[in-house]
Amino acid sequence: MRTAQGDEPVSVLDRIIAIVEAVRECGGCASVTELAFATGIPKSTASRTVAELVRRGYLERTDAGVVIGLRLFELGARASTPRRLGVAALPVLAELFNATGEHLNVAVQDGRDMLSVISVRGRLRPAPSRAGVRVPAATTALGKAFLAFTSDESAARAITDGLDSRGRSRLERELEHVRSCAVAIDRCETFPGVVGVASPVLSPQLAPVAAISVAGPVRGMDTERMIPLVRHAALALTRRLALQAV
Amino acid sequence: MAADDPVGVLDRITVIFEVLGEDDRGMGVSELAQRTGLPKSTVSRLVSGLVHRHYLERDGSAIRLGVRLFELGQLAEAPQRLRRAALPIMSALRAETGATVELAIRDGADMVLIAMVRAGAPDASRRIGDRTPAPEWRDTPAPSRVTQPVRVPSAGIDAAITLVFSDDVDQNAAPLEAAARAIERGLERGD
Repeated sequence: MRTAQGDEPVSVLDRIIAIVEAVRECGGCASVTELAFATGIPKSTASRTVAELVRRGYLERTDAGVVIGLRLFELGARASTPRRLGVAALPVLAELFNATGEHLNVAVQDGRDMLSVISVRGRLRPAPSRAGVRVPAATTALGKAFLAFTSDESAARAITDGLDSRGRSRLERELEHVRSCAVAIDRCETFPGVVGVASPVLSPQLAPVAAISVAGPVRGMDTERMIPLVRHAALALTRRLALQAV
Repeated sequence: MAADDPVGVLDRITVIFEVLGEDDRGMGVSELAQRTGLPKSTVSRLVSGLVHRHYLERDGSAIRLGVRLFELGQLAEAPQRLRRAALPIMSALRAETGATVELAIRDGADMVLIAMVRAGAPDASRRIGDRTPAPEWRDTPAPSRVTQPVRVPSAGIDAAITLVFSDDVDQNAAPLEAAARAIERGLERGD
């Protein structure tokens, strides 16, 4: 099974989580057979595990297959970081949207990705277009804004592990620049025709907790004009989070 | 209880999630063990596994619900489908009535709040993900709340839409029923 590492015994927890994540990886809807295949768990065991997850509302059965259930919506709505960011970010995003009209995201780092926790649709619909979507941290403005300021070695390694040595040294030079101006830019590196501008949101201890970005079409969005607006929004969000913390 | 008993593990994870979901500030392993009624060693082991996979997060000694739960919640089928169908109608309803509009989905004897379009100052006491016993959802505090069911049996949807009036707004609930029917039609079409 994929989630078991090396000779570590496959625990029940691993199996439960593998099944739930396989539903996500199958696009949010899958049959028990597909889940057994995707996880490598024997079908009878997968079927029992699904039944237990359905009984507690983590998953639901529909005509089309097994889907994510209400309990995960409820727990997800209570998840600490997205909830805190959501409360603090709403006025900041409203102001930034008024000033730009572009696509906005607030995202947190998760493994090698940045996970959008709040998304506001702009005139374009470049990915990520909604909360809950992941984008690669190594190339996006969101990821580079986070990476430039993190002192968490394991988080940084998770992001840069996939790069070769040239890619890594180029990224390191770029991060130097991001550290000096607190703004990162993605010039069509992740999505063709889409430019992203992002700035880090810091905790009172100056650790990056998130990043905030503006994304728009390479033809038509004035990147230079976005830089101070995004920087200002990131500082405002940083301040609002600090006020919330007391 | 055997360590490889799936029912036991899932029950224990569930009670850990529930206790943490009640408290935004989070708590340490000892308090979590006390409030879940589970042995500290069990809590400690499960928490490590769940933190490792981002279902929980650790901030100093405080343990809280993690971003992976948020990510999965964004994929939850019924609430997200209902939100897509209802949010534009809820915005129009707020504009027409001046009331805060809430949408909740039934789960057994409870209603779970899944969407909210706020009028005026945010009421920090109501948040998405809140769970309320169904009769209470309908009846209290009675004077300021008007509720309509939203039901699409063919789509497995059993929900309710509510107008919450503040004291300074005339209670015009007339558009509520039409809004509830419009949401049902949208869901029947599979919007």
